[in-house]
This record gives sequence, structure tokens and C-alpha cells, in this order.
Amino acid sequence: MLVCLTTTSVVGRALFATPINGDFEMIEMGCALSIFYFLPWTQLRYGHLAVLLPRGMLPKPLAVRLTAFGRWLGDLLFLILALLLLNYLPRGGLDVWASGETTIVLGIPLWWPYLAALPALLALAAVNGYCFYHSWQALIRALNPSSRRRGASS
Amino acid sequence: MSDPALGLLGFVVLFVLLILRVPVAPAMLVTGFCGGSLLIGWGPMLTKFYNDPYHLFSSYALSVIPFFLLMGVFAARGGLSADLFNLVNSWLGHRRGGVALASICACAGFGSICGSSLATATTIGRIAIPEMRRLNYGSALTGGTLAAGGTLGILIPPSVVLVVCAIITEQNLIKLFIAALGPALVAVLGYLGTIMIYVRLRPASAPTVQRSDRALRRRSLRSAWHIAFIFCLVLGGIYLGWFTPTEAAAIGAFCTAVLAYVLGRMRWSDLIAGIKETAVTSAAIYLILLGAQFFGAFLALSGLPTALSAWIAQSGLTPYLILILFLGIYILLGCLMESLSMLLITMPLFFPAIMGLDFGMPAEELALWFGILALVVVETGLITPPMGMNVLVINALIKDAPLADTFKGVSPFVVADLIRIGLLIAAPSITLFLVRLLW
Repeated sequence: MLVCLTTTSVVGRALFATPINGDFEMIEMGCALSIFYFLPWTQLRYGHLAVLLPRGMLPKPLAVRLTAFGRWLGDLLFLILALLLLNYLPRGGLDVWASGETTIVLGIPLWWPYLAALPALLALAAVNGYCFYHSWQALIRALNPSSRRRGASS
Repeated sequence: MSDPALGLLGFVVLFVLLILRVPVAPAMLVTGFCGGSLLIGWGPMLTKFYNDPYHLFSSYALSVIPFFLLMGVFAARGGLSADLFNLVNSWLGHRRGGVALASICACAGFGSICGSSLATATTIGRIAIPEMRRLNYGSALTGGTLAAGGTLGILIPPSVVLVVCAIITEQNLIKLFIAALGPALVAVLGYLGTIMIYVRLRPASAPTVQRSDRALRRRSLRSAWHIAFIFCLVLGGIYLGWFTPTEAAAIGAFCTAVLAYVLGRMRWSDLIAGIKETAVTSAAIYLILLGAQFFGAFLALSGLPTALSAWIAQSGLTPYLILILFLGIYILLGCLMESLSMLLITMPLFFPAIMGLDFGMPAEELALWFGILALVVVETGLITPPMGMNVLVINALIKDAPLADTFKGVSPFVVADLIRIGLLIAAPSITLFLVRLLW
């Protein structure tokens, strides 16, 4: 992943010095691929942006449960998103392959980057599945002890 | 249920998800996807997954974002900020409240190579806060100054939010950058004025210090030339057409990294860490953009924007009243939400409505003006309670001050912001005169 970004930017920079045909296309492709490969990693580090409302005024058990629930729901949606991407992007790739589309200057077949993104999507789905499993466990943990103490008020 | 009502319902669902702390990207995407499916069926929405993600991720216009992020990260890790602060501090530090004034200027300078408010606030904060505390500046003034100064980061180009703003309003990025310069200058002057008034009223919060000697000042001037160089290279290069914004950002990032490395401030590990940070942030941003695309498509399908425009036309309210109403909503939302997601969620709705109104200026100027206004208002949200991100971050840096103190300290700056917004509304030429001059 890292190497991917480094090479993209280094290659990108090297290209700017001398006019090389198709540098735009290479940047586009490199950029898209790096983003695809960064996605699972971002998920792993949980670097996503979210709205953080203050939870100070809520009673603590409720806040803990809400946080766990939000995390769980978020991870569920991410998992769905990852599966959708995994399921449908390759079909888009097949379309492109069938139509024989190529980039304008370099004539690179457009299905190459689609194929290259496939491992990233697999990784994304795997990471999301793993995260979802974890937040599910965390949700169950967050719900159980408190529900024993104060009844089912969740 | 009518289609626009469904659009409205979509907003409600989205906000409920956000309040539950679901990350912005999947919340927007799933809401948009489900809503769209209700309107035109699953099949057509699913086909959006075929090619849209790849087209979005490979968009040349967007590729500027990771590079600008990288440049900001390198600048923050490379210690360029220390030189900058020393420079302004040696020139302004001896005045009453001088270190605070210097912090604002340093933030402005740093904002000119870094496009993120949080990064600007923390980077300058790490240097300026210890200095201000050492000189017995009040903690409220210290926190307020840096939290407010940080907001200059997204206003002064290059800025990631400005890039996104340009893309969603379909405006020329370069013009938007140029348009931001005037308001940015007003912002800096406003903050400086606020500090001067503040220390006049509360002299105890800002003791005076000895003026540094001339040799030192001259030396600091020499050591801070590189930030000016990078800023001019990047912005000048874009403007003069030497290179595209993406290329400029890449060159800027490269120069910043080389400079930081040559000056011995950045080690190999910093470089790697910086690249990692950029990778995570840019993936998060692209994912939000993907979500925004789905949500935007759903909104357009629902016809809510058109309905809103029609309603506005019927209501007989004056354009300026509508504008102020919209900006008011931004201020409210800005108290809770982070600027990028907020703009992405609301722009598909507000922008067409504004463009349909008659403010007596050409469409392009109106778009630029509204874009900048929205940005300024959103940025105010970064320093308002309860969720002023800048204030929270700065407060964590000060360590010994309660949060309420920092919020109190920032309130004069919020007033300055509100005055500035009023000024920008009343005099669009502050935003537009440079654009008119250059084009």
C-alpha cells in the first residue's frame, strides 16, 4: 500500500519535470489504485470521519451502549458497502473489458486497473468483516452487564 | 409519499445515523442508495457501483487532494512552523499581546502551505502555547488565539475543503483560490484587531516583553524564506499556468519534504509516518466523496432541490434573507459537524437554490461568492461550542486549563467571525475584486 503511494507520487513528480505523454492518465490510474488500497487500511485504523456529539450529559451506561451501537451500525454499513463494491466493481470491469475501452493517450485497456483493484476489494471485505465481528462482540459486551443491573432499557 | 418528501426523510434518516456516530461516508452512501432505490428501483442504483467508484477515485480533479494533504503533513512534521513562529514573534512579540498577534500571523503563514485547520492549530499551537504560557499569558487568551488562528488553515489556499468546494459547485479551482485571498486577509486583520482590543481591556492577560534585537530579527527573516517560496511557487505556478493544481500540489509536497529533510528536521521515519497519515486521511475523504455522490444522486432524483427553489420563489422572501437563513443553518450544523462532510451533505440542496436567486451578479461570481461565504461560516463552526474541534484540540494542548476557559477565550473571535461574515455579505467585492482584476 505504502509503496503504492510513494511510487505514485515519485513517479508523478518525476514526470512533471519532462513532458511525457499520458502523465495525466497515469496519475489518474495510480491515484485510483492507491485509494482502493488505502481503504482497508483506513478501516483498520478507524480513520473515518464521524460526527462526535458530546455524550457528557447522558448517563454513562447509556452512553457506553450508544457508542457501541453506533460503532456496530457503522461497521455493518461498511461491511455492506464493501460487499457491494466487491460484487459490482468487477462487473463494471467486465463491461469495460467487453467494450474494449482504452485510455486516450496511452491506449491502456481500462480493465487493467479494475483487475488490479480486485485484491484491494477482497482485503477491504475481509477487514470489514473482521471489524464487524469485533464491534458485534463489543456491542454484546456493552449491552449485557448493564442490562443485568438495570433491566432491559436499551 | 411524494418524492421531495422522501428526500426530506432521507435527510432525517441521515442525521439520525450521524447522531448515532455512524461514520459520515457509509451513512450518506446507504441513505442515498436506499432512497434512490425506492425512487427508481434497485437495479439502476446497483449499476452505479459498476463504474462510479473507479471514475470517482481516478478523477484527475480530485487527485490534488492527497498531494495537498501530503504537503501539509510534511510541513507540519518538518518543523517549518518553528521558523515561521520565530520570525513573526521576533517582529511582533514585544508589543502588548504580541505573542498572540504573532501566533495569528504564524497560523496564517502556515495556512498558506497547509490546508487543514486542525493541523494548523496543533502545529503552531505546539510551539506558541509553551511560549505564551512561559510569558504568563492568560490561558483563555492563549487557547482562544490558537483555536481561532487554526481556522485560517482552511480559508487560506491551498485548502482541501476549497478543492472539494470547487468541485461540488463546478467552479474553477484557481478562481476559488484567488477569491479566498481577500476574505482571508480580512480574517487575519479581524483576529489581530480582536486581540488588540482584548489585551487593552484585560492588560493582565498579556504582559509585555523585551524587544528582541535587530540581528536576531534579521536572522529569523532569513530562516523563514522557504515557506514564502513554496507558497508563491505553488499558487503562482497554478495561476500563471505553469502547471495544473495537481502538479503544483505534487511539486509543493516534494519541495516541502526536501526542505524539511535538508534542514535536518525530518527523519526518514517522519517521512514514512507522514505518508501513512496522508494515506488514511485521503482514503477517508474519498470514501466520503463516494457517499456524497450517492446521496447527491438520490437528492436530485427526489426533486427536493427543485421543490426548495420553487418554494423559495413562492415565499416572496428576499434573496438576502434566504442567504442569511442558509448561513444560519450552516452555523447551527457547524456546531456539530466537521466542515467537509457538512458542505457535501448540504451543497446539493442549497447551491441550486442560491443559484436560482437574483443577487444582481453573474452566475459565476455568485457561485464563487457563495462558496467562500459557506466556507467562512462552516469554519466558524470549528470554534463554537459544543463541538468546536479546534477548541478541543487546543485545550488538550494547553493541559492546565478547563475546557470552558478555552471556549470563553475563543468567544471574542467568534464575534469577529460573525462581523466578518456580515462584512462579506454586505460587500461581495471583498471576495470578488481580485478575481475581477485578474480575469
